[in-house]
Amino acid sequence: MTCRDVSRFLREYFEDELVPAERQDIEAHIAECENCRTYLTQYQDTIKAAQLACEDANVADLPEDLVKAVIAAIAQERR
Amino acid sequence: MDEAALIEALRSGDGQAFETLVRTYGGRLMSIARRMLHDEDDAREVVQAAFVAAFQNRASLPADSSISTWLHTIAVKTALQKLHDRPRMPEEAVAGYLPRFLPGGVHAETFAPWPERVEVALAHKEVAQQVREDIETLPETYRTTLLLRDVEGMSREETATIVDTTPNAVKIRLHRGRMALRTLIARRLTGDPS
Ligand SMILES: [Zn+2]
Repeated sequence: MTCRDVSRFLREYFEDELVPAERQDIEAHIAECENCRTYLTQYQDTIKAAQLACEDANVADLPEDLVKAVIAAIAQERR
Repeated sequence: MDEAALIEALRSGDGQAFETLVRTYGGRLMSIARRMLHDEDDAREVVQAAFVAAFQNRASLPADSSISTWLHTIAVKTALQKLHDRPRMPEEAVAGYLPRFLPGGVHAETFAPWPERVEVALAHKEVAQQVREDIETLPETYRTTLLLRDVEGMSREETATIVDTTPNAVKIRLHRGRMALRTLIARRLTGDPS
């Protein structure tokens, strides 16, 4: 198992789609390879970062002019 | 008004209920549209079109479903239509953001650990903003897949249906999109070009 193989199977690794032998191969490589350990952590952190960056807390209210425009467009529909 | 009562009112086409819908979910739809389209005017158009489509399809809102899931699906479909109406730009390769390997399959770069835990880093408003910009930088197919799977929490099959591709293509795009985004975030956090 090489760093390239580990990188190729990372998604499957995290989503638990590997057979036990493949998992063990990846874990054996990671135990020996600090660079892959760092990469694996950052791959997981990237998913978390995307979620955190896009959380509702970061969502602003719809601008009032757009609210009005949407409501008017819906009113138009009901005629 | 609880969700069941709101659904009932929406299904009957009640104007007040639609105003509540716009005020409650509008901001969230706007940020999805912005992230998918990367253009403020297009995002506004999509939000408006999505609410009109929701009104037109109000009978399809299942009485026992979640309003936000129903509305998200409509908004994502509307945004994708908008994307596909655009002149097709050649898909910029993500290859430049993927890991490189030496002969023998060893990583060509050494990855510097990130200075802060990701939860701590993202608690800074400006870092969160930068990560949103990084997501917007991804080529469209990768960005859409990553947003639908990792941010909107859609399943692989739902994503494949909505973007009209195979579940296997979704897997590949998601993996590459994540790897490319990792590179962009690493540049931000470590100031390292790797
Ligand atoms: Zn390695």
